[in-house]
Amino acid sequence: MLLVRPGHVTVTLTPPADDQIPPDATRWQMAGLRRSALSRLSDRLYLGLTGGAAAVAIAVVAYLIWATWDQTSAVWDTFGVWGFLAGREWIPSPAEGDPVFGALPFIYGTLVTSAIAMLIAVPLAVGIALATTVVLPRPLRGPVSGTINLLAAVPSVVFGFWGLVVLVPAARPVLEWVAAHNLRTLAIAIAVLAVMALASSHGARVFSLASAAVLAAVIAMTLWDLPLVPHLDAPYTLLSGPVISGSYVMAGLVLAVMVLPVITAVARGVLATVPREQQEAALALGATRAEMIRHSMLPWARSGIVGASALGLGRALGETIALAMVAGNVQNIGGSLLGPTYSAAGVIALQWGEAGDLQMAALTALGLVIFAITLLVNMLARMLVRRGATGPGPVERLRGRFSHRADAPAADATDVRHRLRAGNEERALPRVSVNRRVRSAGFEGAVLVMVLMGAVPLGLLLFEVLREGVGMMSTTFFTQPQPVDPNDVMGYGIKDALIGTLVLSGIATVIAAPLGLLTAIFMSEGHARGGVAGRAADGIGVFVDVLLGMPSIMAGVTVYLAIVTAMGHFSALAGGIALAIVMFPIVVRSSDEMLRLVAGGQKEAAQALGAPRWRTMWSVVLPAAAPGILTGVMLAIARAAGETAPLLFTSLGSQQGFEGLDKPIASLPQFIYGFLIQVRTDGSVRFSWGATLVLVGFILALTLVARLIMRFTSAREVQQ
Amino acid sequence: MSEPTEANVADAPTGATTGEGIDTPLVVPATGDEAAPPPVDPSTTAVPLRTDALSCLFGKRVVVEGVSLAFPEKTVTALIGPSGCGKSTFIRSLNRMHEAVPGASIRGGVFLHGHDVYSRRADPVAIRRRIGMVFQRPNPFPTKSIADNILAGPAFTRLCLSRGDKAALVESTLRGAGLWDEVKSRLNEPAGGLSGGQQQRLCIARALAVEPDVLLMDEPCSALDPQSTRRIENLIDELKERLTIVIVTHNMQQAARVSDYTAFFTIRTEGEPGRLIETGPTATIFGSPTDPETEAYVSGRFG
Repeated sequence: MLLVRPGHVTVTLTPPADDQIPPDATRWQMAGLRRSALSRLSDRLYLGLTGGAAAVAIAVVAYLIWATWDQTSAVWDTFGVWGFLAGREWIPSPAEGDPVFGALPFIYGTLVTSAIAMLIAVPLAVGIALATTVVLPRPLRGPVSGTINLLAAVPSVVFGFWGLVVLVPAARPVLEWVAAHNLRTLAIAIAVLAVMALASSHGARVFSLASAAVLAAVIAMTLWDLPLVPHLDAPYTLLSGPVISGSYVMAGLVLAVMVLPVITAVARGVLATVPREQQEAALALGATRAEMIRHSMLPWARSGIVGASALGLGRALGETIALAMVAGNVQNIGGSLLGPTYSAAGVIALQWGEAGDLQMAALTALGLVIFAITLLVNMLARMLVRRGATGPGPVERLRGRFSHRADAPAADATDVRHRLRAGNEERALPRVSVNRRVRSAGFEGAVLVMVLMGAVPLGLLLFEVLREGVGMMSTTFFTQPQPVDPNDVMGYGIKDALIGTLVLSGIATVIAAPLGLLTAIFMSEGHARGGVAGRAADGIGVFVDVLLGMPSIMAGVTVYLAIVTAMGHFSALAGGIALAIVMFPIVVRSSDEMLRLVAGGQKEAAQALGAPRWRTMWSVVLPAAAPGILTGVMLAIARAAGETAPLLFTSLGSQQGFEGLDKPIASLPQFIYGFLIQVRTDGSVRFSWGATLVLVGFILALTLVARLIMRFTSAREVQQ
Repeated sequence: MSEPTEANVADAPTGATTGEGIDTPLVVPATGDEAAPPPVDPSTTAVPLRTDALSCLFGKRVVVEGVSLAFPEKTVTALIGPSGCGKSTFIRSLNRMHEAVPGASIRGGVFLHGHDVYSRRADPVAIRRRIGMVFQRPNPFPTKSIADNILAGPAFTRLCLSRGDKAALVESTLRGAGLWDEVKSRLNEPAGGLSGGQQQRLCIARALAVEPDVLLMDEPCSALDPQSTRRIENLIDELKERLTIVIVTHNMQQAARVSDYTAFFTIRTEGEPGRLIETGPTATIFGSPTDPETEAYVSGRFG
């Protein structure tokens, strides 16, 4: 032990000369200050590996998209950009002359059906989200939101099938009545639109107003026959004419039911983050529950609701299969909303198979246009979200600002105070005014009606799938090959389609899960390091967001153009790659979020102990984030397993069983779709219900397991 | 630490075990303490708010049991006691904020000007306008402007206010909360941009703008620095001229500085409900408490 006496200590600040330090000491001292070469090398390798994986994944997808863009040059050369976008004619094989390709009918069909869907779905989604967070009695909240969450995972082909078989026949008499009472309906429709647009608040209002504007334009043109768009295919008549099974309204309804769970799930998540203090602040001021929702919950959740709506709109714009099944598929600008329409993604799905070179280029261009529109929507939503993060939102700002001149003489508030106190003296326990009670009850009543309007059809969908599908369940159904003739389904099964779905999701998972995870790890390390790596991580983040918004049919298109044509034939591998493109951004995003959630303190603790970066990631961060990452991957698989559009022209479908990765292969979603657009008989419909139940069961099982993992582990984390 | 004795329990206010009966004699602060006379003589002043054998429950768990307390008009009553003794739950049950927590319920009664706040005919929404509340963490509406935060409460009443009325109300309320000079040039800016202390004074102003009779403050300074705390304490002194204030605080100097009366709550063992041990003029409670537990707590030997 060294005893130090004050005043007798001299500290030498000059270091000893190099030659005075014995070699051992140098090594020892240096070892204390610098890491071993091995440790540094391991970290470099680690960054190189993850960065390399990210670079490869991003480069491949970017190349695919670029190659797709490259394929469309013939369209721009022939028709010009404007000529294509504003072209009203799409005639692939005219009786005489050259084929003409104009995108307008499909863009119009896509926009109008999406507008109808958003106008219905956004207010309903916000209403259900509110109901399941505050309004409904507590015991009911869990089951309702649980059902809605499950429905977010139901594949679109099921919604399309349900729309075709259940919703269309059910809606027909209603629509026929509507068509027979056109003028009166018009008034009702306007009233309903106005009420819905006004009732939805804050974030939702932006979307509802935009959708209402689109429809109001249609209504205006109906009423006054305004020649805003010359040379209509048919005069605008809002809701008249014969009711056919495929139409704007039907497509909009099915789309609305489809995006409703997506928007609800996100909006509910956002509303659940409204702090207790914010709610209590309003209640303590004497707000009713409805007023509390309006003044403290909705403003807080505003930007999140905008984000949720943008997500839903992106889905609606890019939806392929459900629309192909219920839109009617006739090119049509204007006309009655009961008339048929054709969506952009739908025409790609339906015409790709027989398309010539120019037509294929035109279809590809159409896909890119839809992709661009979804990107635009997401960018706009992001701008709204960023602006609205704090402070009064756009609507409040527009509504007029509070103005007060600071230099004005001190104001006298005696009168106001007196009025505010009015009633306090007369009765010790004042009542809430009738006006307020009626308004609040009206608001809550409206929310409950929205739950009925939204949750009941969704619950019925699940019920219907179960009821119709259970009858088909038998050993035969799972072990026999699929029927060739829709009229003769007895004794056949879905073995091949089931195996195909497993194979395709397997390929996609093997490709997308490791690449996605490595990319997410690189993003996390890049953000921590900053500099070039940080900028690269930012860039990757933007690119992944772009991919997230890509209509799924574009995954099929790009893989067809780059891989199927190169290989010369359709294959399971191509289908798997297309699904991997769908999965990759989902895996990256969810893993990235999970890695972020790991407390910074834990990372710092490991680093403070001298662990290299890869060790910190491997032994501290990954174990903590593993359940969340696994959940994300499983949800991504569930999403990919239900996709139909990317498979149409990659794995093609097959009547044979599994014949190898380089051969076409069947899959459940594609089987349901293909089987139904053939002859529709009682037998084929029942068979499809059975296949639907298996598909939904498979996907719901994945989703449930994923949620259980998450619930189990988040309960553990709360305890920590 | 002093062990609780049977005598202590007996000292607890009457009605602690009966839990019923409006006519049970109330424990009102004793008068006539010559050392530090309370500023108000409760025998002659009105008592706008009192509780009668009030017990607060979460589910079946009793958190506070049998508290009978009176809050004389235009005074400040401080509720002190160790963590977990149910002070916050008690104060939240006074304006029926308690029931905003799922599963919460009460037994006994709270009376505003003699009317049962928990009677079936009373509406919590209306009660909360008469009994305002300020919370532990400042909670202004972050998306509303400063002016709109003040006007949020009056807006609920659907009272038609002209622009001039609004301006007058905003100004006089902010002046009342001592915030006017700091924010008068930025009334339209989001309230989230204010400092923590300013946010808390804005919350007080917001609560005042609905003209309550009673203001409940649940540890209003615990998230603030000493400077902001001082300003809020001064504000409490000014507000006392107009309203009845009940304040929960962990800071005993604060209780001694701002309050006229003090009520000491404690919890004997883990799992038992919190009880009111002693109440009286602040000077008495801090100077010569009758209960040994109170004495131990205020002298810093316990809690």
